[in-house]
Amino acid sequence: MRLSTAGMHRTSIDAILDHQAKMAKTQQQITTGRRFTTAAEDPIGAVRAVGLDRTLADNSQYERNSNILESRLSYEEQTLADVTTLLQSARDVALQGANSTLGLEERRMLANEVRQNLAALMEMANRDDGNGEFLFAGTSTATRPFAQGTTGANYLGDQTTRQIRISSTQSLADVHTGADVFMGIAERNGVFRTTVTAGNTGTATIDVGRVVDPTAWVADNYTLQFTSPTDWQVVDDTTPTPVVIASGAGFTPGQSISFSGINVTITGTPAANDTFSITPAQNTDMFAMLDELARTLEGAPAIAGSNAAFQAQIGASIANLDKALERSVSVRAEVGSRLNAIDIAADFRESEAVDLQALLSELRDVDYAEAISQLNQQYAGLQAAQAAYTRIAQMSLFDYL
Amino acid sequence: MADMMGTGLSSLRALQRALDTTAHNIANVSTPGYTRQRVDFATRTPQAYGTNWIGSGVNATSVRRIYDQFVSQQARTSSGTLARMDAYASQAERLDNLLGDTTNGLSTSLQGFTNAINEVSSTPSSISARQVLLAQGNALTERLRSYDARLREMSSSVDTRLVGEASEISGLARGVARLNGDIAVAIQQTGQAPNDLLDQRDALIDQLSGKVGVTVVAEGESTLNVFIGTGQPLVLGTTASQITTVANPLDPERVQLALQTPSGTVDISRSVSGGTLGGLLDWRREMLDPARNELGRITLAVANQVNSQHREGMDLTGALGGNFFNTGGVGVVSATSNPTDATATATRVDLGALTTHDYVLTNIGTGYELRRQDTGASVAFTGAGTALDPILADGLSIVVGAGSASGDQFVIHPTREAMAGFSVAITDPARIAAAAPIRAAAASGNTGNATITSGEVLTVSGTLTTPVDIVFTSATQYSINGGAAQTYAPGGNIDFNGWRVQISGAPAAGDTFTVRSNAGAVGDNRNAFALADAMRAGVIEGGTVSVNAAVERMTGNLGLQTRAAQMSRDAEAVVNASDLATRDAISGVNLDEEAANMLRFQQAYAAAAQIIAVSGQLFDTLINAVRR
Repeated sequence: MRLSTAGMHRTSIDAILDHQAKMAKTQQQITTGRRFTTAAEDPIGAVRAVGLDRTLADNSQYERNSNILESRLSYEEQTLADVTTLLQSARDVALQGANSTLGLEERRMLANEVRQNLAALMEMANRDDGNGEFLFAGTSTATRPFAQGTTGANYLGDQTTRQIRISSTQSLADVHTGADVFMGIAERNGVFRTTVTAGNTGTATIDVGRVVDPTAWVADNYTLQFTSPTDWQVVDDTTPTPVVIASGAGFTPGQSISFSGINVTITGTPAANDTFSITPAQNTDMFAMLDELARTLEGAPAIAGSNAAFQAQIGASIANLDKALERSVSVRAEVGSRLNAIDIAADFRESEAVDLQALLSELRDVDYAEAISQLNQQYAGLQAAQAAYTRIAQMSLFDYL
Repeated sequence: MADMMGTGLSSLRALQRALDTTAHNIANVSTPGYTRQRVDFATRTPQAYGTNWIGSGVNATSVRRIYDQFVSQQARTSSGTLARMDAYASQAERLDNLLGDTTNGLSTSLQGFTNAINEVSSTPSSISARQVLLAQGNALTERLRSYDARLREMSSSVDTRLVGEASEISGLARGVARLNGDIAVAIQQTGQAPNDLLDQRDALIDQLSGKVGVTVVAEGESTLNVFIGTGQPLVLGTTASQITTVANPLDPERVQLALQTPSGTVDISRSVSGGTLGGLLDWRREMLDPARNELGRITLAVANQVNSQHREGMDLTGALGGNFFNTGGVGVVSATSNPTDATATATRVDLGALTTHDYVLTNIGTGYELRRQDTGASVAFTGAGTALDPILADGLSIVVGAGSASGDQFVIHPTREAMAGFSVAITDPARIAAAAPIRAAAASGNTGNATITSGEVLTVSGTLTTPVDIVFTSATQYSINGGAAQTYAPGGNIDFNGWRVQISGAPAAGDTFTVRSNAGAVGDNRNAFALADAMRAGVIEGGTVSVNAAVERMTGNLGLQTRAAQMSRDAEAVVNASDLATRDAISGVNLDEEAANMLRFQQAYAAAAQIIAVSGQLFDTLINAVRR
């Protein structure tokens, strides 16, 4: 084929330019470490890389969320541990106070200890999360959640718990509200409360009782009356006209009396016309429980162990504190499971991140060994093209004329 | 002997021409568009001597271009195609560089914004987290506004090119017309084609074809007629038409190419298919406009998702959240060719139904006709275009003002104008509505164990935050604010005043649940949490495509289109190189060949000179013989 001189030059120059463009591209890949910088260079890979980048960025945000949540839950965990210890020590005080060998002054001192516990509990309930936000105020985190009022402690926070996203599919509840932790605890045995009526003349006292058949229990007010030291009857006061629903004779101290699916035990000797009331349990709170215990100890009778009402009260307080402990333990268990969920999510995130990074790197990162060998090849090609051009350009028949 | 002298002289003259032509070829080795020339030799008419015919030498009959009409036409066509593809691909690369950046593109800004929402969700009372959210929101709007500005500039730079090229095309056309005349005159004078003028004319037509794509039709021996677009005459003999730019009646911001004819201007923008201008116009129609519309739609999706959720929240001041983002409205342009000055307005009513097309609404006298601007395809709609009965189509509601008459046209850009007005509506970080507007609670004296959910907003109404008490009159019945007794269904929805709560468990008679305004709940993140989820939810195309997916899809599509354009360009470059090589193989100058020719002609010239010398000697011999 016939070639034109200009065409020969153009072909050679085109080849050199082409090599140079390829080298520039390889050089850019090596300096940036990326196979591509814009979508056009690998549209499918680029879109996948953007998606993977997004998942990784989302995950690191979820990690930040988790860290914030974890720190708050740890604060709650710590506080709940303190609350549990405090309730335990109050319960010990109550047990100690029930000891019939204690004198009035000793009980006063115990009462004092309970008052200090109450103040400490108030401090715990009003703790902040280390960032100046009240831990137990629900979402009203700027509001001091608990205040001692004239009728007991008031909860001023709200009952909203926030959710925090810790993965694309999972969100966890943040710390519990004060209402969840400290308030709304069913008193006594959780179903009914027993009281020794003031003015009883006998030495009989009543325990907190227990439910034996929940289906038979009717939440009415009942009075247990002793018509004589050995004869008793139970009157349902809620019905329009009081009705005797159970009665018995031949009572001996320490005997348990059953009616309406419940069971109470009377110890000591009742006098005729002594009464005990059995009413449905109310919801109370930890502060009221401690306050009640302190007041029971402060109001202890001069002669220790002689007052039936006092014994029943102490027994009730111990039952109350058991309920409070139950609450703090169950809330703690929930916190524990949330913290555990955070750990599991973190483990999953980490292993996912390793996979995604590997995938991303495969997709987007330059294989240096390959790129450098490519650059060398292109360099050799360019050199050859340049050498060929100089040879061809030099050859001319005119040189021989 | 005289004949021998004559033969030698004829040879000298012919070879002189050949050497001149060789010199001309060598001189023009680097001239673009130059076609090598060759002298054709022919024997002169022989003379009769008795019964014999004796040759009488040589004539240089013509100087001819070595030119193959077919091959040159092919090279011109492929050069025009390459010019179109090159313009298309290089503009596509600009767009890809702007929007297809995989490490620092729009998805990065969106990610920053989403992360900032998450941060507010984790620490809703933190003013600094809220400030970061505002800053990220501003960065996102800034990014989209700057995209908008850059895309507008890219579009208007096409117009600038059109204006400049129009006058160049006119100049080239005038050059072709003038050369047509000159060539005709030259042929008349000598009967021979002026090769260098033919080359010049071809070069001008090559340039034209590189700009717009033309059809060339030969008329007679001397004239080439050039047609543009769908057959509009650009050059007819010695007259050239003028190409101008006029404002596009449907889009006054843009110009279109027009051919000036004695009867007025004819729009040829749509029919320009080849060359640089064809590539630019194709690129604007196929890539730039859809990309602008898609970005606009993404802007609207972000704004809509964030705004509708944000309005359902409560800010730190206890007020309901307003709009987080502002966006631009629907662009409606009345065509400048409209017979009336009626205007039209359009609003977006359904984001999920919005497309990335532009539309033309035409008043056809008996009603309206709605068509896509790019393809002209008819679009189904309902309504009469009045305020009471607006035209509803593809997520738009269009109202045409009074006084519109048949022939009025309105161009509707549903999404692209959203970007220009995209901004953050909030400046005070306290006004970010991270909290839910209501709080539900169980009263502290409740004896049952029923619990209430924290509540969700169904519709934003004026009574949303009005205090409401739900009181159980028995374990199975409740009343709301003392209203009629309702049967309690554990876990069932209780809807009131635009909110919804659920109560579950066993309530006791007298138990009370309250729903109150959530003012003061500075640590509430419920709305921020919902905002973060809204950013991941499907919203576009009937709620199937999320914002992030739309961005990724747009990036991917631009990448694919750019890559396809690059590949077409590279393939066409190979075709074009081969066409040029074929043309050069025929028409190009080869210096070695010219050197050989020169040597050949030089030797022949020397030989011819020897003929004259020998002829002289022969004559002398004869004279000397006679003198004796």
